[in-house]
Amino acid sequence: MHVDGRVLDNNTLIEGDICIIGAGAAGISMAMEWNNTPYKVILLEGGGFEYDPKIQDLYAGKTTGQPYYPLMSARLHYFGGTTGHWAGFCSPLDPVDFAKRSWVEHSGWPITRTDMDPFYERAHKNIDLGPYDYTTQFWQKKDPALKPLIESDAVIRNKMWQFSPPTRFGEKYKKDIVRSRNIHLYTYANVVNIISNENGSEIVEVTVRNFEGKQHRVRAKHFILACCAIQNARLLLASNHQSAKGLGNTNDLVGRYFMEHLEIKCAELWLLKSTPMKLYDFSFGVTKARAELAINPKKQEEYSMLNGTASLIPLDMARKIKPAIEAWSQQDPRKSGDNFFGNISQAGKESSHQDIRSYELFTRIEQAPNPNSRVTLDSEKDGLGVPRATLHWELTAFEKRSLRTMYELLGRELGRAAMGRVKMMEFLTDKNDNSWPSFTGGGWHHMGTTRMHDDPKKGVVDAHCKVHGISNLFVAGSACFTTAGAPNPTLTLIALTLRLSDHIRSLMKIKSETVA
Amino acid sequence: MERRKFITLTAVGGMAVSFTGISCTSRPAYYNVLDKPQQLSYICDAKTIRDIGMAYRAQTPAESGSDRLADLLSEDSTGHAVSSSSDNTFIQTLINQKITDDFEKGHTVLINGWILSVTEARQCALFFLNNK
Repeated sequence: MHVDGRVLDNNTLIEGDICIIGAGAAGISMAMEWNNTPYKVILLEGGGFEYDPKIQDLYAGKTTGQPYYPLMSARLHYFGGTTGHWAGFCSPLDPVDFAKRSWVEHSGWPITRTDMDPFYERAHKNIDLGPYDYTTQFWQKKDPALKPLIESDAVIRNKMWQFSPPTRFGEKYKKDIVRSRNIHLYTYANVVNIISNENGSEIVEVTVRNFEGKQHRVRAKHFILACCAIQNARLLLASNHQSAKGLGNTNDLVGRYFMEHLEIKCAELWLLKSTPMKLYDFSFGVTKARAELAINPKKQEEYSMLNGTASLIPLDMARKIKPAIEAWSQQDPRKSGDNFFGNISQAGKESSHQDIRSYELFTRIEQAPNPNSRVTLDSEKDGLGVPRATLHWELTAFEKRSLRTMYELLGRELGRAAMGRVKMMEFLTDKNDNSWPSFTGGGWHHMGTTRMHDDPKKGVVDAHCKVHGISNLFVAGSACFTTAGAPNPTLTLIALTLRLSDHIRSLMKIKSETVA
Repeated sequence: MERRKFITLTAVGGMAVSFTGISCTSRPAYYNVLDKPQQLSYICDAKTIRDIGMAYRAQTPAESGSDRLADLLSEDSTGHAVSSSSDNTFIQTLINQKITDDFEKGHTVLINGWILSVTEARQCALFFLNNK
């Protein structure tokens, strides 16, 4: 069922078994897991079903450090969240991404890729992906024209991607949720405060507000924060009535370790001869799966480098595409989106598609976990009285060295195989230069601000995404990522959410059995 | 560098050759193969190859003379000079193998952004000297 928070009587008390804060990919995935169960699920969405500038403005904030997109434009604030304009790129993190890597400080999830596999498979259904199989061989059997550039994967491997249509959660799940008897969706219900008991060990209720001047209270047995990595951290930090540093922030970790994927053009690949490249092609809405070039994990260890991939964009087209950091510069996400996607579409139309032998190598690489890359609260407050977020995005020399190494290895391997030559962009050629060029961008992938770790001194949430020290507060989403990997985070954050849902279900079961 | 500007340098293939290597009577017959980076010629025009050669010489002063470059290029895998009567095909095969080995062993150089085998960079340097 659906209730508009604006028409409720002021100071209404809403009660349920589970309260999910945020109705994006994570929040809706969580809610749908509980559809048609005996449990009352409260799903709180700050916006409505459509874009609303006043609501979107609640996401505005400052940025410092490495230049970044306007925060207001980096997420969508209405039912369905940022799936309202995501591009649908999906791939699971690699096993090495979960591992403790001696050469990557602060790496190591308390769970493994094997732990995640069943949830990845389930998550595929949420976003309308194909079979949960990311081997090149599987896709080659479906289409023998998908030929790898290099057969051996000793140095370079083909990291497979699948593409969601892309699923717009606001469209796909609205009807089911509105018609549900046990999911109670409240729109225009912005959580402005999370209130714990006196010693901060349990959440008692959350306060919601809207621009109609209404304030309501929501009580539940379990609370799940699913507002996105920046907003989750902001809300925890701003909920500081019981704990001065904010909830879950005893060890000053909330908001730290903010990670993005560096998305940046780095090099050109010049093929010696015409080569079948269908495996690496991408056509929006058409391609079901494709590969990007990545470095074998053993080589990552040997060269002490981060994990990343290179996608191949025909050079003629790539040269017509504006850097994302330039195209996505408007506060209004609709204008930025139109500019960004429109530019790519236009570049595609204006480019030659015949006998392509030169490609731009466009990188998506993990950012190393960095405590100084962080979200904090600003002194300025939003229209509902919550301090705005400030993002300090900080990159290090490690990311740059990893990029350089990645292209040195690609260049060597493609040369060895007599496939072609790689030409690095100038910003990578000087080993002593740790600066970043003006076209450095991110993937709009916000991760890590409530990172997962078994040790409360090293992470905000535990292996089950429960906030350390608070018995009934959980975080769903990419804020829990310990490391970023190379893939876009949506598939992984949904998989983590499904895993969290199972965990809460087991807690409910234990509790009801205990009561019985 | 645009594809329409690609110049095929290879002499072995008998295709259009746009280079005028110096032919010296004291030099072996295969000398004209040494300054023609065959694989690079599929993707780089003559100016780019000259520029690479010039940059390599500046970066590696010990190899800036044409005799030194020719000696290095005509060494076999054991470091010995090949027979002066070796034919062009033999030398081309030898150089191709050296390029593969360079990439395999990480004997590469970064010149003007290009990740190149040392052997082909030397070829570019020789080409530069022969086509100033």
